[in-house]
Amino acid sequence: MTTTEFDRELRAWLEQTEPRQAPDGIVTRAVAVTRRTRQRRGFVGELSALARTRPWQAWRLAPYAGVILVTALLAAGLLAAALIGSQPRRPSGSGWVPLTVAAGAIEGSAHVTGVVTAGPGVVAIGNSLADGDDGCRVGRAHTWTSTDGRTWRESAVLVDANFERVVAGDERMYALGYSGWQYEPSPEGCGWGHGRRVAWSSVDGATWQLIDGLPADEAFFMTTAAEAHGALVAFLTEQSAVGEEPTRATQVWRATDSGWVHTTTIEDALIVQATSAEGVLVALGFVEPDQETSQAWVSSDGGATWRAASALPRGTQLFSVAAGANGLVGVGARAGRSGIGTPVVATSSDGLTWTVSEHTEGELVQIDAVDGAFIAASGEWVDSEQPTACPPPALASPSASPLGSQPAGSDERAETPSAVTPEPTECTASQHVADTWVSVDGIEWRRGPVMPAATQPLVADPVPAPVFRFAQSTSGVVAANPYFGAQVWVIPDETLAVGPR
Amino acid sequence: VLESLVEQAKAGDHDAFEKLASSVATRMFGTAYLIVRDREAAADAVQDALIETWRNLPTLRDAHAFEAWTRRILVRSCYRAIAGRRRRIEVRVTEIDATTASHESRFGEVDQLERAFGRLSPDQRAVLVLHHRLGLRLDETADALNVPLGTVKSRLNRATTALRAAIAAEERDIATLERQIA
Repeated sequence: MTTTEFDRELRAWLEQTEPRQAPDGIVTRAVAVTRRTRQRRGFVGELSALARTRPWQAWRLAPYAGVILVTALLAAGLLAAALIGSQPRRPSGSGWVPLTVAAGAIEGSAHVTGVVTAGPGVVAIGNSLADGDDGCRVGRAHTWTSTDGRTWRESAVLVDANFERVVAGDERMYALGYSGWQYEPSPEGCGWGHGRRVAWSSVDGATWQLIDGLPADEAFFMTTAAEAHGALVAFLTEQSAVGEEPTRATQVWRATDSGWVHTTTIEDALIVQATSAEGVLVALGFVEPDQETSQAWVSSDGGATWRAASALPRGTQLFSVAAGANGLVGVGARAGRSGIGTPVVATSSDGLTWTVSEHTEGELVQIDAVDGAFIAASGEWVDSEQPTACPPPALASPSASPLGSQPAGSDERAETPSAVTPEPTECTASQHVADTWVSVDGIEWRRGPVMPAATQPLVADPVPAPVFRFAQSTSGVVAANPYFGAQVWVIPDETLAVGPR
Repeated sequence: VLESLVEQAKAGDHDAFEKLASSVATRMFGTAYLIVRDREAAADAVQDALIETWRNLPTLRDAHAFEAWTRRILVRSCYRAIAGRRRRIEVRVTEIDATTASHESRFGEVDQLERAFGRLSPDQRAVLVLHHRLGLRLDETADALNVPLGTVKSRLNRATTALRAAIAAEERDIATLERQIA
């Protein structure tokens, strides 16, 4: 079952499960209490009440006056900070070029789930659905490769398989996903998919070697993976059914030529992100049950032993981490008393000690390293009635129509017969726009051109803001995410890196 | 009409508040039940939320914001109800509303999803209910939960992943049981 189908089914179930009537007396009892309960009237309310009834008790207003004074000072400070920090959004649509990696019949049913600098240049992985003989739909995993990031061709197809993510290593790349991927038949057609958790390794993106032997227990799910010392290290989170709140631990597994080996288990840890730098693995997650403050762990022996980093400031959540030429950078947010998070960037040279600073110019949710620099992105759904919101048409690039003759960096809107999604009418719906930021050291950031992505047809029910992944090609940076079909976006390095802050 | 009742209740009109409470109680109880998964605790949460709503009504400036404002109060009450229930160490009995009996779903058995949903943490259930059942946007969900937008995104992602994993575990358990019976 796809994410959209799953969400639809979940909504239907929640609607059916929700009680249609409140228990008798629930309002009566509450109202009985409120009839004996005094309302909090605040300064103005108390002032008018006292003025009417007990003017000699004006001293009772002193605490309100103090609160109002402090609130006014804080509001003035916040307003000043907002005015200083605010910047107009740059026009969208300039720079990023959408390209379709899949051609032909599968184009409409395929979606890219990851992109990585590897093999012949850059490799995109993804999945497609095709009608099977059993009346249900059979999943296929695909690899598309490109030497320059602009001209794509299909390199491999694995039947009954599913690619979820791709990890670059020193000598090979790894695809993480499921083997034996099948969709459960259901009265409505196809149920949701399931298979055996596996990984594959490949040097060129065309030939994939299966790495099998992970726990078959589906209560474990892989949250992230990274490569260190020439081997893939995967993190599996255990979901326990004991008690009201699940208890979790994270298992660390290492891929070898003969299969997976369980190296250790980190108790009370939920690890959600990992990266590596010069053989050192850095994992990010939470120490249960606190899921509001991130915790980092570091391993120098390929994941066998782990050392917890010094604590981040309370309320700091790092959503993503990457290793570049100048150290480690994490992006996230810090919760404030008002509940509105402040975007933050965390830098570290060793993964053990982190320096957290605010990034007030915009939210960052995902970061990758490309050619030693960092590129981060955050996206949101916007009202496409804004004139900048309509995305340019995607261009079919693979073997059918090479794009090498088109000027690099131009904002192509060619009226080719192969121009595909989205339909013009979808421009009336909400549309995803991603901000991109570039930094060499994680401290100084430059805002790149806004990336307009596909349009969400249903305004009232947008999916969560998608997360982009990035890779480097000879044509520039390539971006991909699984929400927008068989597309990647390409931008020349010079366009991305240069521009007003 | 709702705004008018809010204004009257703000001024201290108990009868107006009773009408107001009656108009929102069913929806509040439905939301609370989905988060708390216990009718008694959900009823407690709704009552607490209504009382807190009454006490703080004069501080609500915009009557149009009443619904979003009470939602935030209700979520806090749900968390308190869950914490109170844990302290009492009550034996939990899974309750399924009668209306669910005829629901056919791709998830298979409804009680399978019921159990899987019950495995989620209250935070995870709350974000799924607010976003998927009440149809709140992510920023509205963040407001209701009083957490940053980024937290909602990551929490929603983890909740969905955890629910899928829990469903898979349920299916595996059922298959094992069926094999044992056979």
